[in-house]
Amino acid sequence: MTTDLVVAVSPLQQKLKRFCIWIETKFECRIARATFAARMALVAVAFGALHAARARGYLDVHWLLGLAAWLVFGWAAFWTLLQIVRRFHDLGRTGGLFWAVAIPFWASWRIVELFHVGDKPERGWAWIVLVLFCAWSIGLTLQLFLRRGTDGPNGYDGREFYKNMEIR
Amino acid sequence: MTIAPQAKSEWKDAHVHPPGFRARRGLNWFTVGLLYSMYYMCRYNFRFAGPGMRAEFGWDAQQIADLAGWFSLAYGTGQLINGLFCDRIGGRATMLIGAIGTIILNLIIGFSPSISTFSAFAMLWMVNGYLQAAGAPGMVKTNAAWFNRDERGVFAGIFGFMIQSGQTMISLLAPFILNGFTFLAFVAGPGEWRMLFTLPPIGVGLVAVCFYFISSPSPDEAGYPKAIHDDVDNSAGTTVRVLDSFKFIFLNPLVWFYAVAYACTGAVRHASDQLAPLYFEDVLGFNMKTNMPEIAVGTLALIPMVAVAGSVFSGWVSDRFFHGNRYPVAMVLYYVESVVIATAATVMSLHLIGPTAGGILLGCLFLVLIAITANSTHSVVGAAAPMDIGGKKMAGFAAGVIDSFQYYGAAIGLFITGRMLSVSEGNYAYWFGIMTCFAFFGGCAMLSLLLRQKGRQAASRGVLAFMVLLIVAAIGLGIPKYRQQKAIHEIHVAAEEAAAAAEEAANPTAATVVNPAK
Repeated sequence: MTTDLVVAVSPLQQKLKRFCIWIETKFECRIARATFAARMALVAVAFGALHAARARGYLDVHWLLGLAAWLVFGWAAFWTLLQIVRRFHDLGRTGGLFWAVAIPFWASWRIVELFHVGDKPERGWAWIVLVLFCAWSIGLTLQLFLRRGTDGPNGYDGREFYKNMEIR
Repeated sequence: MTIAPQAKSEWKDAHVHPPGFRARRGLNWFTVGLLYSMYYMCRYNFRFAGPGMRAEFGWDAQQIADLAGWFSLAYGTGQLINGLFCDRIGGRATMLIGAIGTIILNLIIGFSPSISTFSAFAMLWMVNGYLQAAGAPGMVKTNAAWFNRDERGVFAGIFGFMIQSGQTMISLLAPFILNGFTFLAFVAGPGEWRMLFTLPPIGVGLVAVCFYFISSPSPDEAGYPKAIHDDVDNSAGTTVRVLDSFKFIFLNPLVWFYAVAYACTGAVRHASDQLAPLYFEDVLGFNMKTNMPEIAVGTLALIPMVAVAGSVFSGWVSDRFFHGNRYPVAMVLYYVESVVIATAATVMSLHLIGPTAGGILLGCLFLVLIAITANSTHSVVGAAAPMDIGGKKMAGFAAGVIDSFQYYGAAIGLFITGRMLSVSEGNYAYWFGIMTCFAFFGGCAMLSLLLRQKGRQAASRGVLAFMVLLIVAAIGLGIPKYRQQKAIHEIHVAAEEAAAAAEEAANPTAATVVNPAK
């Protein structure tokens, strides 16, 4: 049971490994406030355009348009995730805080949809509860847009950065 | 650099994985979890088909509960056997075999005309249970190879998300199917519950193909040798001889403490999951056959979400504050669960839950609270603990043994609950009461383990003796109570039948059908 075996790695698994290294490297850097705000504006335009196209029924004309819309949506969602993680890194905080931003907003949206909070004025109190529930997320979002990044290396500059620093 | 970022940087260096490892692990974890979640779609379809089957075949609540109970027995036994073989053939192969089997079984049920007899359906559903049991050991074994001990709690919790997403998917898909739909030239009418057994297997098949190409049984086979440290056996490879696995796991006392506790999780989790649609119909007055109310759909969709939150949080707490020890967190969760369900039983007995606005809200709220506590223990005890005990080589059988008890517990819980519901004429306070007992018992099992691990052997044995006393008392008091209720129930049924016969004799044209369940 203690014998070390040499395990073969298939070509497909090697390709997956290279792909994963490429993806991971994408997250390991920092962006400043202005760049973040500009990119978020771009994402907002993309999401807005998709929403408007869907509301006007343009995406139902042909199934290819629907598929294209889903691809654009997927890309925009991934790109947003990437920018938020990089911005948290600039603030000297872990990219995992993305979930602290995303989950409360997503859960609130689901609750609003499930219980029709928006359609019923007598459920106004629910909005106050939801805002309180999202307070931390709102605070983090404001920090992403407004707070200045840390000066110098902060532990989130990427593997390659620290490797080079050790050599020097 | 100031001190804090420097410390952070050092921490990152200490925990660094090879480049691309975390993304590759995420991808692996995602495909394994997705396949397991699809397994759930071919299992939880039953609870939505239950009301339709009840209407078509005339089965009563006890028979529906019995079916779920038989499934649990087959599933539990499958866990034991499949877990053992999983350690020999690997987690990936086990999951694929199970996926192919469950696809075939669901399609047989969906298309076969001969499932109207209770025994035929029960037999098929039991075989499906056995095949479904290939999923959990395979999933746990694969993940044991990809995670260090102090990472497993959180990831077991996140795995809860994948599992629960299967439930959410079927909770959303089932109303869509049952309401009837049209796809190109294909038309399915409202209430066609057989479609619940023919559409989900297609999803399982598609995901199984992705799983076959992407997943890897260990980091070594994905190009990351020695990336993970295994406390049990850190040598390469993930498979082990059947006899070695059997001996190591069966002789480990930790396994048996967790197994008893997990039986209690199973009794609560399955009783609340499988009987919730009947509870909605019988207590809250919903129509669950063709046109489910939004609050029912919302509650069934909300339950998995809150369950995931609870699972992740409890896993994180056990990793962060208890150095990967699962029993202290599990103990607290079981006791909280028993308090929550006892409150629900009290509220139910006071007739505060029922088909009124407040009653419906309360009824749904308690289901959600039970789901949080039951599913938190589900992840911590059922996924993280077997990985810790068995490591990458024997996690399959460890998970099999522990998880099998979940289903034996579920079978016992469902058999008792089904009978009590039948003889009490739908008094769901018994449902809550039985779940309370199981939750409390699970807490005692974890308390006993906690004392044992602290070296307080006498106290640990004392708790075990108390648990035996609880069982004796439950049998001694419960069986006479059941017989008493059954006698009253039989008198009611006889009176109803006599009244119906008298009415039929007086007016022969208007034949009255008496539901034997009433």
